[in-house]
Amino acid sequence: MSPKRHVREMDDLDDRPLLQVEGVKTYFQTAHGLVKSVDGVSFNLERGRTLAIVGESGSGKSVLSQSIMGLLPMHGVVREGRVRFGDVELTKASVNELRELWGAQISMIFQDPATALNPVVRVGRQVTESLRYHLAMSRSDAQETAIALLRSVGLPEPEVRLRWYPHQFSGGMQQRIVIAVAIACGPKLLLADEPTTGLDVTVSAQILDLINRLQQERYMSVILVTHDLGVVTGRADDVLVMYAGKIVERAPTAVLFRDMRMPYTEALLRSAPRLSNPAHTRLHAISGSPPNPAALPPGCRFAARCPYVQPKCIAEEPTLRDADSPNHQYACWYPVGTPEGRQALEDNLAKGVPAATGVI
Amino acid sequence: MAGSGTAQMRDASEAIVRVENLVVEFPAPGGKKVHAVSDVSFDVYPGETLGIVGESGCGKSTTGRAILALPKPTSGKVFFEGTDLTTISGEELRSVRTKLQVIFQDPISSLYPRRTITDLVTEPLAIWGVGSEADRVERARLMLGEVNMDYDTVSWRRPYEFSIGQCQRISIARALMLNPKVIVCDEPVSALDVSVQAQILNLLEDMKLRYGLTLLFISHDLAVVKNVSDRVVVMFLGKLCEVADSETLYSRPSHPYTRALLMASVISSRAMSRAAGPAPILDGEEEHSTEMPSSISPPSGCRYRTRCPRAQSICAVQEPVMREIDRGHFVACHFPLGADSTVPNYSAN
Repeated sequence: MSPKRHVREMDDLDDRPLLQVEGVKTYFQTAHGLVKSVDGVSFNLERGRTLAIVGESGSGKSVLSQSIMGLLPMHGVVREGRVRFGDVELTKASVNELRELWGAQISMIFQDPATALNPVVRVGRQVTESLRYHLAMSRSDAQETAIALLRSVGLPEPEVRLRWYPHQFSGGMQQRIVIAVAIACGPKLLLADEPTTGLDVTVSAQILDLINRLQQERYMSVILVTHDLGVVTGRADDVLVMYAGKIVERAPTAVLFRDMRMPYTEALLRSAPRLSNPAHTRLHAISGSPPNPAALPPGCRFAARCPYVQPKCIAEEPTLRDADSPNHQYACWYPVGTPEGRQALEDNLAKGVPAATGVI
Repeated sequence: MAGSGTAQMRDASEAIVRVENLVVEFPAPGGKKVHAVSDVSFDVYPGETLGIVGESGCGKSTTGRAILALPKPTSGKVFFEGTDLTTISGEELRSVRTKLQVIFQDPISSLYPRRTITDLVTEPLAIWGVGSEADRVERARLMLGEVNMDYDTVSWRRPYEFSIGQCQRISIARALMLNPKVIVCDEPVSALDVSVQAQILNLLEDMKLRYGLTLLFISHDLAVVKNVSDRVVVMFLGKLCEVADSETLYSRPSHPYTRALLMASVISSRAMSRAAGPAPILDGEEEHSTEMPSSISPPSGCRYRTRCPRAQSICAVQEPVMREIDRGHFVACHFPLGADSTVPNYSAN
């Protein structure tokens, strides 16, 4: 029997951000060289806010969330930067210290619910496990709490289904169970890494709404990692757009969609098919693919695929700078919606630069 | 409907693919049966793209595969250019299949990992003994070029060296090697990021025009299906709900299930307009749940009734039959939505 443990309470009146991420770099040593998956990312997350991290496969968004959680292997990884959660320095914490936080104060929802749940353990025990461990609940209290939790995530007949195994549920129901496990101890931070990828459209809308509702009821902070800008509106307060390991634009959600500056953000939005388009509309695909993270180009990492690209972009890497509206930053020399940007695009169209003319 | 009937069928002499009363059942434990596809009929004209949409478990992939006899349907007929594929011999089927190709959802597992790209792409020709090896390589060079891959840099590589989007391009090149007439695309872009998805969708459209292909495009993503399809079939639990040209289906959905699917997509793609509008107004026509009923013992009458906001007692007793409610617009429902029914905020999207 493990000793009774009690969750350390943080000072909720503290007005510092809940999560402070400063200059996080995560490099992997591989046979192909040093792979720079996350290359200097900083942001703050306030209590009760939802932050979306958006990017393509390979943009480093999942490695970033694993770096925040401290889930990366000890060897072969080069780490820099600081992650501060309340008054705990996560980057310096030992595994034992992290174990007290994982599931209790910081929880994670993974992309594939089928592999996140243990296939040979009844779902009831998977929900009660962290209640018993972190909150030292009695068996019967934990059971009751688990039933309430499963009901709150929309699982019908939780009293009966506690005794079921994961394979007896559909993908959407499995994801609801994963969410129930994640919120069981009332975490302050919930990291959702592509929580709806692989789920049907009807189910995925419900899962996102569920996360949103729980976030408001419980005043959690949420980090929503996704490749789909579509899931972001109405659900995130702020958006970070990542490309090749770096933040290329950040803004409050409404500002980002109304007034984006970074050509990559624009390209991401334009590439998605829309219901309002007539059939056989030609899509604005982003040409090429992201750069090799083991051999990054010297200038802007998006330059090779950018419709606005100019010689300066290839030579010199832009850093994040402030846009006109508050809390809006972007990294681009020829931003969208500015005279320089328009001029750059016109020049490229006149010259027939492939990325600008849409020829892939 | 989720109902039966053949009102949606057009002139049989013109269709390149015609599926009649297709039934696919799989054995389940205890002597029961999984009713994966139950009495489905549709046709495809040459040069047309038919979209098949529905959630996981609705039988859309099984339908696509049954056309290729993978496996052979339990009952029903599948005509390809007038030949019934369910009655011909194995050898005849093999030769017909050269004209019917397929692209799967996961391009990485559909390419054998230890073979080089040349081996993979030339194999269809090698199996049929078409041309000399030099001819086959020449054709591979051409087809890989068509999918924007340079033969000289990719030919000796193996699938793991490519991204998932590139693997899907290779699968498309391979499917085109034998000059097929019809390609069944089973969720070809579901595993891809939006940016890569756009590349592949544009590529499929280009190839369709250049080679006069007919496509069967299976997907759960309504926006993707609308973008490529001329006509769309909505499936629910092994049955057809609604058939119409894509413009009509998306602007005036008639089946409550089609509307529910559209609503869910509108909610999740609202961001796609720069001025993200307000949330769609809920109007009491929401689904009761989104759980898929059991396909081993499907609900009586209309299979959608357990989720349907409009269900009445007749829906449990009598299965609705496909009927034409407007020119070329077919629905299998006892209580279809009126012509004024649109999806809220849809036009603003």
